[in-house]
Amino acid sequence: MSEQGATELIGDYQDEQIDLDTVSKLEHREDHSVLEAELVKGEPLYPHELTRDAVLSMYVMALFFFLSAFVPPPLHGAADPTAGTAFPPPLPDWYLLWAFGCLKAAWDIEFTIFGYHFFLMTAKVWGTLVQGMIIGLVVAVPFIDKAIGAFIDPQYGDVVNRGHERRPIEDPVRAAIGVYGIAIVIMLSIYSINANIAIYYPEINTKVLAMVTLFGPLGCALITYLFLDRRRSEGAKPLNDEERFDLYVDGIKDRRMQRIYEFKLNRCYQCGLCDDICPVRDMEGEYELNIIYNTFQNEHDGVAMWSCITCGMCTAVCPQNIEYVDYVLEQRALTTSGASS
Amino acid sequence: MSRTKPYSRTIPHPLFERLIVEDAMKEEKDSWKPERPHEYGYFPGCVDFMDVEVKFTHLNKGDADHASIAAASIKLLNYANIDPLVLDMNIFKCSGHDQLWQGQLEVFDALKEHNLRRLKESGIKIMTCSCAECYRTFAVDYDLPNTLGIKVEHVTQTLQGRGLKFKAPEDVTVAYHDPCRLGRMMGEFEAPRDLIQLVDGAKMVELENNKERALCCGVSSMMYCNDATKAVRRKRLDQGTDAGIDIMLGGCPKCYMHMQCMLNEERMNPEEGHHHDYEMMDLMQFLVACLEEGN
Repeated sequence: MSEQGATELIGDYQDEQIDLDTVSKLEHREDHSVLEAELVKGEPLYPHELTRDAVLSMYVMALFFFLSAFVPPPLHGAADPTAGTAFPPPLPDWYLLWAFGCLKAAWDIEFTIFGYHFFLMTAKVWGTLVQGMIIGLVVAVPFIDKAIGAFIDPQYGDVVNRGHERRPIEDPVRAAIGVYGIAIVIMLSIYSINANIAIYYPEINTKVLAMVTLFGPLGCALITYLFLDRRRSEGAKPLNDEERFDLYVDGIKDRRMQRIYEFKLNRCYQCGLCDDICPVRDMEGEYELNIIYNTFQNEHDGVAMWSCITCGMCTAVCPQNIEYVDYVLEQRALTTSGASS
Repeated sequence: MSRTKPYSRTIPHPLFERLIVEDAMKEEKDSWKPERPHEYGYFPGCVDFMDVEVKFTHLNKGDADHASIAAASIKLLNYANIDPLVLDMNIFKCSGHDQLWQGQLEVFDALKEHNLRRLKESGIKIMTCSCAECYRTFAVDYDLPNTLGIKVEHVTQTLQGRGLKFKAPEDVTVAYHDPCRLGRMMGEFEAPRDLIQLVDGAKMVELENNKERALCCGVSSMMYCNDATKAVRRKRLDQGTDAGIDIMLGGCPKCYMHMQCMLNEERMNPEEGHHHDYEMMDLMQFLVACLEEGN
């Protein structure tokens, strides 16, 4: 054993595991024991993972020693405590600008009711709390989702197991909220450097920036919602002849698409959900594959064209809504054209 | 490698296939006119043919009665005060779903041409099918709503929301098996479930994979019946056992046929040790059995 190199050892082990897996699946296929056929493949902790991690840790440690010994950090001159405030003021790192923007945009919350003056929060406290609220909202999103699901459909409220819409087009409201969040963070960052902007562009004063920060993200969210909602109302329809013709023409122009459904399969980003869910691959597959991607690459080794039971499960889980079944239908028609007459 | 039986092609039955191709290629020029105008047309599909096929294969005891799905659908439509024009095989031909998905485009086009001509002559406004595959074919592949202006519905959609009442003879636990053509492809998950909810005394449970993630019955468009497709079907049946159901309901005669075939096969070979202690029924058969007395 000790004479063998680690690479050779791992390779042998994996080959052995794959062979065992294949044989056992073939043996069990007669019994249709679907549930028993899922063997776990992988590398063992000892010696493979342990050795690899140890080697990598030593390497990193050595790098640290080298750097600290031969490349010491530079030291600047001592700071001057008597120096005046700089203008424009120093800014935090770019990824914290939004928090700085929150602090700048906040105002003292005070109001007068029936002659009594209430002072609720200073701008500092309020601006700091807003940052916490934004982070808290991001953390709470899954829980809110679950609560909404349980409220809408008490019997099947388990959003985590059932899953929810993954494509922005199927849930325009949530997508619009997401776009609003991104836009407001960007706009708060821009708002926080108002002093620096005012030096170079005096016409963009704080008032203009405040208006854009307030209404810009709302506009982005509205546009997102309207666009997605229109797309959703169009729905997932099969292509009509004109659209097919357009696809052909575009394909000929670009010299890329030889077949119309290649255009659709091209949207695949190889997440592999289709392979996880496909019943044919569940029964027959031995290696992990990506059905749609492999088909796009003209390798029909995912699901053979005549093995596909056209149940449409791959389309149901596909984040890109690729209609693989339509593709299979068309390929079958092309393959057997003229055979039945 | 301990395979004792070789793969064998048991379906599609060669005779059955030849019959449909022969039927499709025979041109009929004569015109036809219904006796009186109807708003609704009901297309039973090839259930009569399927009876013939199933009875002559070695797998079945021959107790599967597919024609009863058509009879049940007509009875339920009448119960809902609908008088459908029955577009049966004397006048129409097979919808051509299987031929299309097997890639036999010429046969499909011949069937489509004939059926479209007959549909024009029939003068119906709404077409309803008890078969999920026919439903998809007429709605998407024939594109009836856009070409002839005929609305296509599954029979569950036609019966939905008409104030029907059912009562089960005894308390049963049922589960609904989503056919892929009706569910994923046409997006109808709720209409059959709503109908099952109407049945007094039937408790509906969901199988582990339901709605969008429903498992297939394994044999689509009569392509093959081999060990792998049987494993898909057995997985589905196992989920039924796990859910503890008495009856599994399907919305498509093909699902009914394949599941029933497997259950029969298991009962005929008890030494293999696979057993599922429930029945497979079509939703229409179940609803007719649950009709109250006097209807």
